[in-house]
Amino acid sequence: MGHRDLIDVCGLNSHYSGRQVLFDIRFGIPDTNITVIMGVSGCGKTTLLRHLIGLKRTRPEQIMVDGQDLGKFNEEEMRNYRRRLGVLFQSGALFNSMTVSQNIAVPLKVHTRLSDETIRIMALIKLNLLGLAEFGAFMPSQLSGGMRKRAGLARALAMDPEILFVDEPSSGLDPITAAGLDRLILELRDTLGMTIIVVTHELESAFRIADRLIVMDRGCILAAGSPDEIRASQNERVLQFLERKADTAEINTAGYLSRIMGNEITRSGR
Amino acid sequence: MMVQSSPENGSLREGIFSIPLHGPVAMTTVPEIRKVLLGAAKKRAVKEIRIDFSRVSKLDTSGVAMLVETWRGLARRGGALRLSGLSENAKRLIQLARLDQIFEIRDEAGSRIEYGS
Ligand SMILES: Nc1ncnc2c1ncn2[C@@H]1O[C@H](COP(=O)(O)OP(=O)(O)OP(=O)(O)O)[C@@H](O)[C@H]1O
Ligand SMILES: [Mg+2]
Repeated sequence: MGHRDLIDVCGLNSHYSGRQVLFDIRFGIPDTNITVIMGVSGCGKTTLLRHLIGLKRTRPEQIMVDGQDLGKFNEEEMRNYRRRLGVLFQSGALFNSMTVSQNIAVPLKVHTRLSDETIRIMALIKLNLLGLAEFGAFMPSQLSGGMRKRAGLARALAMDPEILFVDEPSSGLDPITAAGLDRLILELRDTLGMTIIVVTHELESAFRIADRLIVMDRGCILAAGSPDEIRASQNERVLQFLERKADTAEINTAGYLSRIMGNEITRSGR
Repeated sequence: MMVQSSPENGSLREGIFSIPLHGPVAMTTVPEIRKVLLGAAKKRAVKEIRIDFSRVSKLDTSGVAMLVETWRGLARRGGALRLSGLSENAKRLIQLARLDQIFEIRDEAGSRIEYGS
């Protein structure tokens, strides 16, 4: 589609204390595109994000950034890479002891030589983008959950990042605010040429913003393609995901019963 | 890299301070450019600042914030800030910040600004 892959995930495996949670993940992230990662809870979306932003150690030859091996980045290379990123975590954490404006100013104060007044105006521009222009002086605790989420996004955008990672932007937002956020994400791509990676459960939102969709399932990629390609997918589990069918078959009933009943079930000869 | 904009690049003529900027107008370069622009905006002889963006490779939010500061300095004394040669992306960034009403943005046809020697 005329876009180069900014990031190439080429066979990513991931473990938490020996338990494997990602299996040979392969996909490209084209620049100035919106890539949406979907999948049921626990399938590994946040873990994948943590690798992509360098928060979880990646082995060599599993993720390439601009053709460079992220798994071989030294400290300085990692710092330089991180500086290109804006990240809004699922928890959307803000510093609670600072006002919203101060929260946004932090990365600018740490990483630039800009004057306080320039930073103040930049923070205001970002707040206004997220409909929070009047709330700069508020403490995070004085905001609603949805407002905190938006304030977190304003902070993720503080440094005009080249690549933006957002984990669950619209969870906990009303449909109108969520649609506004989608519009903003599209605007950021179009206006600033940002490369954006969004993790979401919201199907409607996913199809509204995605240039490319990745559907994950139990640590693997089930399907990847344009929204039209995903819609046309004949894969049973993709369909199931899109139709939001409850996944009864996946629940391990025997395992559940054995846990709830202690060893009773084993005694009764399963 | 392009030569950074410096005060010598600007020229003052009949109350109009004209300055062409080069290269990125972004977080790394704004502190220096800002000094030049705010300095000019403070001078009583300056009634208007015209900035030519046609050789600017990139404008980011710090650049936009700097323009706000420059505009404020001028507006206080009834002066004006005129921007020309902005790329489509730069214009859209200014629109995204809802500041297109504040700055005077000339389109390509009107962007011919003469720089006196
Ligand atoms: N810090 C951790 N330590 C151990 N295991 C973890 C940790 N974080 C995640 N996991 C495990 O890794 C798997 C994937 O989790 P992950 O958080 O990536 O899922 P997710 O797709 O983001 O889910 P959700 O949609 O609920 O946010 C899960 O089985 C989870 O139990
Ligand atoms: Mg998650």
